[in-house]
Amino acid sequence: MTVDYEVQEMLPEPHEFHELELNMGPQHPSTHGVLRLLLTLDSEVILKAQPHIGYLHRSFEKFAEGMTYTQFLPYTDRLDYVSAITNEFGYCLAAEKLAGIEVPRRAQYLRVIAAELQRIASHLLFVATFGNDLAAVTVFLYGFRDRERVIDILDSLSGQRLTYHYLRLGGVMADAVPGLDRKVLDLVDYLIPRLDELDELFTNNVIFRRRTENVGILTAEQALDFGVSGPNLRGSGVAWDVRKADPYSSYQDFEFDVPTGRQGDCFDRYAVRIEEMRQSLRILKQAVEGLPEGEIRTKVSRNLKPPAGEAYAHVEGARGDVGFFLISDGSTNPYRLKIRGPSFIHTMALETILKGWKIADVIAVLGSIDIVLGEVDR
Amino acid sequence: MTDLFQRLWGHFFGPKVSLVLAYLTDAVAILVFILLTVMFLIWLERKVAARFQNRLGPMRVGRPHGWLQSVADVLKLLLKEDVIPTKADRWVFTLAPIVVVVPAILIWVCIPFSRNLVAKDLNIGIFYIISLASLGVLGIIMGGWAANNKYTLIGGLRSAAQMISYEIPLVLSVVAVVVLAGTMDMNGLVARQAPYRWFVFWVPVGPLAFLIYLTAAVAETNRVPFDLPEAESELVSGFHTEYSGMKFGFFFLAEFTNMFAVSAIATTLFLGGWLGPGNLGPLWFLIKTYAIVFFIMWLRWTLPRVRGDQLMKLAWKVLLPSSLVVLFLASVMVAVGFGGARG
Amino acid sequence: MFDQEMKQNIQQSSHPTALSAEATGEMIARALPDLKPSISSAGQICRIQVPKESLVEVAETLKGHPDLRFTYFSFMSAIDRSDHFELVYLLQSPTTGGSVWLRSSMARDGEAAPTLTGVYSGAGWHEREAYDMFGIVFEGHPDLRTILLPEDFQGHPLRKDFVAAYDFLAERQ
Repeated sequence: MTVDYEVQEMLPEPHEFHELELNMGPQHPSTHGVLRLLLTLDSEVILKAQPHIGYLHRSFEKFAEGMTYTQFLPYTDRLDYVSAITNEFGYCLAAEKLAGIEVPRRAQYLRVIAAELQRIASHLLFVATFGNDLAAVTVFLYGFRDRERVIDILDSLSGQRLTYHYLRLGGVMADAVPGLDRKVLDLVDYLIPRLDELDELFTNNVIFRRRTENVGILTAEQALDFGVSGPNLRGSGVAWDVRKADPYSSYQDFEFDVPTGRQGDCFDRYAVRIEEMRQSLRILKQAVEGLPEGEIRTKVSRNLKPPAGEAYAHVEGARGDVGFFLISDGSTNPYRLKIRGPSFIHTMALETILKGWKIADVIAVLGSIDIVLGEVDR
Repeated sequence: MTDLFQRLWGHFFGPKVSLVLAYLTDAVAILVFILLTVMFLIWLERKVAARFQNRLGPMRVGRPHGWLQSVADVLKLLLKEDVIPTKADRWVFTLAPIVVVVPAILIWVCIPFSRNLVAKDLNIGIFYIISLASLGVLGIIMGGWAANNKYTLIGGLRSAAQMISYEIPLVLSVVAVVVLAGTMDMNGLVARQAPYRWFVFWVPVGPLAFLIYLTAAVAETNRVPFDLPEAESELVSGFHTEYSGMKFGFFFLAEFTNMFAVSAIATTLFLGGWLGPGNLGPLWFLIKTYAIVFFIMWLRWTLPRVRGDQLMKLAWKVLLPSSLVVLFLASVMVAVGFGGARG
Repeated sequence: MFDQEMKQNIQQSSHPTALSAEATGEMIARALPDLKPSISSAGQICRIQVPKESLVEVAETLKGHPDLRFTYFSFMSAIDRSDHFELVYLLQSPTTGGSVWLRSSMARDGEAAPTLTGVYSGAGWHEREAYDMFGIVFEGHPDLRTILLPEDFQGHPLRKDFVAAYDFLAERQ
């Protein structure tokens, strides 16, 4: 039996004998998109984790300069495609601020309903994929089964299941379907015991706890320094929610709590999202029961020409603080649109979070950070 | 079982020839049984998984309930191109699946389906089984190594480490039962539990040994929550990445055969084997074995995966000391007069 | 047992609310009278125009000042104003609730900007994106290379003189 290759070829360079460079992605079942992580390992411990992005870059900011404000609106759906309503929300608020458009109260409430439904759908997808990554495959199917119910309601509102194009400049696209309040209240009744079931099966499972507690810790100072927002920031203990800090679109009318974690490990980020779902259900109940009568959309010209100036609007998306910075020069097209995608910043923070942990923790951390590459690359 | 076949062949041939033919028929019978069982188990796994996940599972291939799905899968595997990576070690690459499958099948020589339905009732039955079970690890290392891929190498080594670590508690819990029974003969072990004194009820050793055995067995067969070597969603895809076609099929076959074998051994050792009311030995044996198989599948579709270091910690810091304690307790029980060999 | 822990984690809203632009401007003017914060026309943006050389110093002061505590780095970007570039930074304070915009101008070609990565780690990737899209070089940046575009991409897309293929074709029609 002849051996026609050298054993040495399989070992790393002699002068870096203990370091192994391992490539994770861009095609990988657990990176939640096209993300490439270049890991430098010392046996199982991660010395350096370098994310490489740009595989989904679609030059949205350049596109915005070439089309009108109304024409760009469907593109915002495709940014964070898992949580589309919140992107539309941010963009519409920024454009309305720029042009001085007032949104009627009924439209504001409908926007809130859509946004909270979307938050629940996005968090259910987070739970599903997190479970799948950790080999609790059944959680994946349970999460999607429940998500179907939420998406059905959004479907009845907008006609779409993923990229809704429901919010429009000046309001929303269509009025609440008759029976919307019944559907939403049924959903609330359906989901609350399901979330408790999820707690029993998954959250309180010893193996899951052992894999996510004290793993991938992001301290509050680090989080603030990077600009981490949303459930990741709240998982590290900083109570900062744009809906409370900078209320927009009638959020001040609703009563809800802002859950925070304690030490910023994977489990804290997960638990914050579960609690957020419960709080969203609270908001939904209040919104749907208090839906005011009125118009659903202020008339806005299709070739809107806002006066020259600039405006920044940010919303609390499912992933974090989604910001839109719009500059107008008085013409029909934006002069500059800057999209602040929270996942971009979280991927940047990944490098710091992952240092010192083991390979198996990469999956838990990536899952708990909950990035969507559409927002990272734009 | 051998003498049954010997009598059958004796109608046509002389005594020596019919003995040899009887042995051959034994082997064929075991092989056929295993292949059919594995095909059934694959279908069962898919159905069980589906029902846990609120869906239906295979429904089309062989209405109703897709019972021909496994046949379709086997045909598919047979027809696939057999890819061997260019720089792989061809011989080791080809031998690895065989080294994994053969011990898994050889185990079945000793497992009693009823008092007479056992291929060869060796008087060192359980010892024979345990020795063979250790051989499978070699095949995994060979498979991980031969593909010339650093990821499969890491996967293969991790798998080997896991299997070796869990063998010790597995063996020790089995030894505890052997000490209680006073015999290594498989049929003897079953007889010791007649009529309803199953070893699992022999407190304190029985239930403890059963728990340890079951945990170690799930780890030995690389099933969730201990399926780190095969984890598709982890970094390294595992030792059988580069395999395709029937070679991969062999690894798959070995995994299910092992799972079934491990359940069968658990039944024989702890749940009274083929004992049960009436003359329906094989039926009781299959019912008990499938109960454990179902439990193992239940675990797979409910629990998340344990991390590598936690897995090792469990083996060396929890199971090993526990199994030593159980062995000690078993010896104490025999010393005070429960169990032990009797005449 | 676990449920108890989770319930304890929910904090009631002892939650800061955002300061208006005017309030932020007043707060900064009181603490650092040298900086002259200005409020934008729509009354919603409080901005400080800073020469690019003093960017790092101003950022450090804003971050470390005990009354201001602008510890949250929201984002950084650039705007192509045809004859010059404008750098934009948004800093927020989770303790006081204020947000302030740092603005700075620099020439389109030939000049480099200072990096803020020493003050806020979050500036890292934003500066890389500005480099990628505009061609702005940040001095002292630990890892300045393209982030969204491939390494061999020629040109800087968000400059106004970069004509994208689809625009070119549309013009031709």
